[in-house]
Amino acid sequence: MNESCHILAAEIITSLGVGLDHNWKQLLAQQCGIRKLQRFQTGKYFSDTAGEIPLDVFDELARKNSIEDDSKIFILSQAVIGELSKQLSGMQIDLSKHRTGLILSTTKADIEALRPVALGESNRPLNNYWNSSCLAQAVADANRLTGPVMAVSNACASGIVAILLAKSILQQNAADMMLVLGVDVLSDFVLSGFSSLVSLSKEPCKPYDAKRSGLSLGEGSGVLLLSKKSHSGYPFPAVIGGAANNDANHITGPSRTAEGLKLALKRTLKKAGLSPDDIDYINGHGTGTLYNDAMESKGISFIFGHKSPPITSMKGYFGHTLGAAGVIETALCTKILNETIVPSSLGFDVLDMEDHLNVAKSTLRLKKLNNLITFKCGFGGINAAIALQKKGLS
Amino acid sequence: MKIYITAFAYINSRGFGGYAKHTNWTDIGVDNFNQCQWKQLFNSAFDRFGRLDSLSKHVVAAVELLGIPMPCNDMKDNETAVYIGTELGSYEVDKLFYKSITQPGGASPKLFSYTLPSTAIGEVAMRYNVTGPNLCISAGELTGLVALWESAAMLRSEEITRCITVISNAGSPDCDSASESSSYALLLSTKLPENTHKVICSVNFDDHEHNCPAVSDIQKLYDYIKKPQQEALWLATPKGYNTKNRLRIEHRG
Amino acid sequence: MEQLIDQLKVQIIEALNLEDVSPEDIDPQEPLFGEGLGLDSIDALELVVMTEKHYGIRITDMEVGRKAFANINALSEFILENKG
Repeated sequence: MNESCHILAAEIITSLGVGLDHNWKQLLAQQCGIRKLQRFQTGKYFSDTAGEIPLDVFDELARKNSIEDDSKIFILSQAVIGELSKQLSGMQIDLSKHRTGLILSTTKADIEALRPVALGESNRPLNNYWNSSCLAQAVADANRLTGPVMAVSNACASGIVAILLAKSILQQNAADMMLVLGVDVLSDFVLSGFSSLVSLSKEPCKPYDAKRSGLSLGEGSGVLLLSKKSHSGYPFPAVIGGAANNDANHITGPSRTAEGLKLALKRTLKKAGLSPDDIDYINGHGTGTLYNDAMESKGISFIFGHKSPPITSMKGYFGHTLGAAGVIETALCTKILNETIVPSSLGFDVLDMEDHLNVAKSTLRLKKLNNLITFKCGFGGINAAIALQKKGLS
Repeated sequence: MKIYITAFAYINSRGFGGYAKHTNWTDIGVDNFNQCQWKQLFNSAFDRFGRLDSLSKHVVAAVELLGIPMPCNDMKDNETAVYIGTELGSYEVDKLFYKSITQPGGASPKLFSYTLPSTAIGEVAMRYNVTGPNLCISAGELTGLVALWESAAMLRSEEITRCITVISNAGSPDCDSASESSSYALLLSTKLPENTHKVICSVNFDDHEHNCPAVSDIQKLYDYIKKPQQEALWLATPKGYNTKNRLRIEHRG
Repeated sequence: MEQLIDQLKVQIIEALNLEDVSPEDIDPQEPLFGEGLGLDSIDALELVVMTEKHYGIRITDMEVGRKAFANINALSEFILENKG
């Protein structure tokens, strides 16, 4: 039988603000953090909007957490762990007293640090955090972690893949606890890249909507603390199964028949010991591009048929946070499970005739929410999913 | 559960090959891998090869050297995972993409697609129609060891029966000169192939109480595989993994 | 127009790193996508970059791009119509 592991604590920072509880309130109030770009040149990219964290928030986070480094990705990493530490001290958990490892999930880390070298202006990068395993080790050292430390790079599915890897390490008994840290920042590099792929929406994205026209980029960080053991007195959902599978179709476009997603969902249900009927909510990837969302519709209809549970995308709130998405959105899923409330899929109005999804257009207060699935899909054809179960059931 | 290495391949500064074969670059009239066209290495067709970045070229070529049969029709292989260990394999294409942003015409979408090292996994998945689990990992100097360790751990715990594991430094700052890039590919399997002499080595998780030295260098694994011997090779436990387990590699005699 | 067609063949081979394809191999009437040269959606976007880089013509509508990139004849006509 596949063993579970528990999410003991979770924290996030997005363009909606700092802290899981704060972000949760913003989602319930249907607030949108996707705004006109401030620190990037407008008119240069295909879109002038993104889920950008204001500069004064970075300054405040650095000050509050005594971070002297000016690398935004390092600030977001340390600050979200700082938020987590407040929760942990209330639970009397000291990470440095356990064999705690760290898995970093990021797509391009601090890629802007490489710019001077790339353009031949200097021999030295601005810092070492463009190297994701250096960033991982720096964060591990700053938090005195002694367990396994590594970085996962599986495009936009990295966050879920990192959770699966952390679960594997815990199952091997190679660590007592694992931190899964997802972080990505906006950059000229990434804005230019997605512009060149003509996949950005000029307005805030509209996941699953018939009039969707592309994705909105975002930045942020999320951290989860995973453990094999649960901690009494606290509501910890368990990760009871998961899978990552490839479409084997195209390097950036999703499979039109959703092969990888179907397989990942099927395997996740099997490993979790659940049937489709047991799933009460789905947190989709829902980027707002024509092809991604159509693909999800096919995959979900195939597995769940006509009785599909409600699905939402969170990207309409704070954009697509790339390597951080799987972690940030899983953190919010822990709130969804604990509160039995599903925030609406912001940006969605009406389905395309071809699509069959049960998208939640307004906040849902469900009678029962015991099991949910969250999945993410990435370049390279990867589709990764996990099933979370409310505490007390597994 | 037993895990077997049923195929092994490499690309390095001297040439390329597998368990019992080796070809020098000079034998095919080139100085290094970067000068090769696909048709100089293989009889099969691969139109996409020219578009790939250094890392993807290395990874796909190393996997091709494993001799995995090409898919029949559209049959997907759901039982094979693709795991790669790369430390900064997108460095070279990151620099090229940066330059393209400043050039007339603007940022190159083709280059951008390869700035994620996991695109190399996508190229392998497409070519061989493999739809199993994927992982792209970096862990500093221990990248190769962790990739191999996690491949074995995944096989031990999953219903998946095969894993293509590729460890490469192609595209990274270590390879400013093309001759410095090297890649190793392994096909790990939990099923004994019908033809038992195809099993090169077995891989087992064992508690390591002895004083045998353990290695963390994938180059040493390569040396061990190329030269059959009686004694087992112990791979070190990756740093931070608090377990007595090590990987014991043994030649099948 | 002949000269432009020959030039485009060379530029496409270079922009898309088409290994083992020489200009003589490309029939200007044959489709660039699907059959023919078998290019994909990333190649299409790369051709947009190539067209702007060499001819200063910016394609912002993918429908316009689809017609212009049907084959090399179509592309050379498009360039002659839109250049300067």
